Amino acid sequence: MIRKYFFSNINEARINLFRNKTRTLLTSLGIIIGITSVIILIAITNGARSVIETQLTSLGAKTIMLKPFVRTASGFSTGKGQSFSDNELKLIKDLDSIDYLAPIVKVSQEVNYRSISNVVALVGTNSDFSAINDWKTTSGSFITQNDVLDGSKVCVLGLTNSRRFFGAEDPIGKKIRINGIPHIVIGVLEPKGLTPGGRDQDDFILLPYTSLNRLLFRPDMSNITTVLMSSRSSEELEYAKFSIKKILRETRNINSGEDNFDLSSYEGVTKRILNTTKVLRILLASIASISLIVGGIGIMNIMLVSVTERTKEIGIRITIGAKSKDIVFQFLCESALLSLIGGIVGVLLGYIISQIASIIIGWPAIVSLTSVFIAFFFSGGIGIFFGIYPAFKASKLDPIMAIRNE
Amino acid sequence: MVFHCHNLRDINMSSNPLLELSGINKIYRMGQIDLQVLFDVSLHIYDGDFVSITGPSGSGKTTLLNIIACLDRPSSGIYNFFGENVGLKSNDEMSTIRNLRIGFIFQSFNLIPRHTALENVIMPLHYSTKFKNSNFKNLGLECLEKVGLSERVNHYPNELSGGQQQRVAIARALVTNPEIILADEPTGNLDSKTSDDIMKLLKNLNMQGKTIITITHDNEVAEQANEIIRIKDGRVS
Repeated sequence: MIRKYFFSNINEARINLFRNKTRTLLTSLGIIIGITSVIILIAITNGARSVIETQLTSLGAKTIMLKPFVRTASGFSTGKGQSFSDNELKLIKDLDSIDYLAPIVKVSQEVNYRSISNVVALVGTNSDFSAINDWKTTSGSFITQNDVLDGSKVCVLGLTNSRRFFGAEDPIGKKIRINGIPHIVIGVLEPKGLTPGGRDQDDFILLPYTSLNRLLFRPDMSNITTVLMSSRSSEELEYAKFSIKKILRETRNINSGEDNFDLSSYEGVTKRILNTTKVLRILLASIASISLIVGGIGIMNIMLVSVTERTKEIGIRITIGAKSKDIVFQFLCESALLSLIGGIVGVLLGYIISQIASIIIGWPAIVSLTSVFIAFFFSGGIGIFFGIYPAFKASKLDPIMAIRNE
Repeated sequence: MVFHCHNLRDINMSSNPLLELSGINKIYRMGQIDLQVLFDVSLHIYDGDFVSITGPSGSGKTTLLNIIACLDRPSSGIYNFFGENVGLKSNDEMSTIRNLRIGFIFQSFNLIPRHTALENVIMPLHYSTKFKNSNFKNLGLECLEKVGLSERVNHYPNELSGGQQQRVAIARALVTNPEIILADEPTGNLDSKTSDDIMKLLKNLNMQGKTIITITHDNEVAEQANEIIRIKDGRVS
């Protein structure tokens, strides 16, 4: 019953709209422009957001730091901390919200190559270090998983050390002695330069943490001073931290009171930057919604004109048996269909234009499924909302007067 | 005075009338002034009648037709339609009566311009729950055949002559198979030859058992009916 009713009304609406193509097109133009601009603006701000997010990753937006210390008012207290077990790190690494995990061991040791000798900061870590810090090699390769498993005697040089020991020479494949033991240089990292405080960020040598532990005769995990992790996205950072905390509390049987580890991240900075893009997105979306509302008012106008224009038709329909609700439903179907057509054309147009725009401005335009759904929902809703008044106006016509209207 | 319309009066006198108007008054309020259009109209119309309501313009015949058609309610008096008091019906119930029991034919045909002949004919079916969507087309084609327009099914009204348009309108009036056909000046916009054809069609429908009520000021048309009700200054004479 309801289906029959629905389909005959949709069909009626189709007849009225498709046999009057020019008017249909002109009327839905408002909605087309509205939906198109919503889709484009959302696509471009989404693209901008993803660009900003990748840039933030290198600033540590997704990075979480875990230390085996307890944070106190005067700094870290090593005494109360507990170092991490292999099992704990494995459980954390298996979390869905964690993409990468790199343990860090830091010591300073004597390093020499031929006649040059210097005390250099050594950093023991694994293959994930590169991804977490977005730090790639300019020549050679990075430490691999196998290097870590085997405890290979390999190392990757920061640019400062490459210059210090090798000068203009290519260091790849050369052997340097760390604490007297030869290690093969497999890569050189791209330079990061100085920190704002003037510290040289490139003055260190990376090696597998297993190799470094062996070098120090500390085969356990007790000298891991930091575990660096990166969450899958900056949105998931808080959740990842929560999950890590839960795992450690469970394995360590901490029910209440003080944790014997410390979790931190650069969330403050990230949050502020991401909030800025969010504000921007909301601003642009609200500008676009204004055009949607204007489009909706356009539809209401045309539907009102249509009611006046079709007074006689409405009179005929009521005379031959249409009830008020039939007339209301017919006009609502028409305005909803009208704006849905506008919605479909708008989405297509928005998609095409945003792809072209993305080529021109050089950052990705991401048309999300959500924005398409919102566009459809919105355009249908606008059609119904702005169609209500004209539809009720039509249904209240007196058939005796209406049918005499010429 | 009660006016009885009855083409087979002697046989059917005992049966109940389909339509029974008694003491109908209609008063329009125009600002401060009350304008009475119908005065104490009483008439009975029986199953199978062919009735003409005739009178000069301004006599109140259109108002009377609107009341008979369940488009309007009397100010006072009782109108029983198939034994039920129309005055007590809601607007939606009156719509259902018009949809299923009355077929409408108008002077200016009143077809919907953007719809084809067939779409116009099946329009009343949309407003009833009695018919299945899948039957619409067949019912429509059947009625167009009855009025001799099988060749013009997919034409738009502006592609049809006046007579053809009126035939489409008659097909539309027949599509829900109502007992009563109401025709408001059915030949008013047609030449005399086409008028004759349309009147023949109506007479034929009457022979097939439809009750037909026309209003007209054309005496020639009125005389085709079995009964003529003359109305003057809002009173049946």
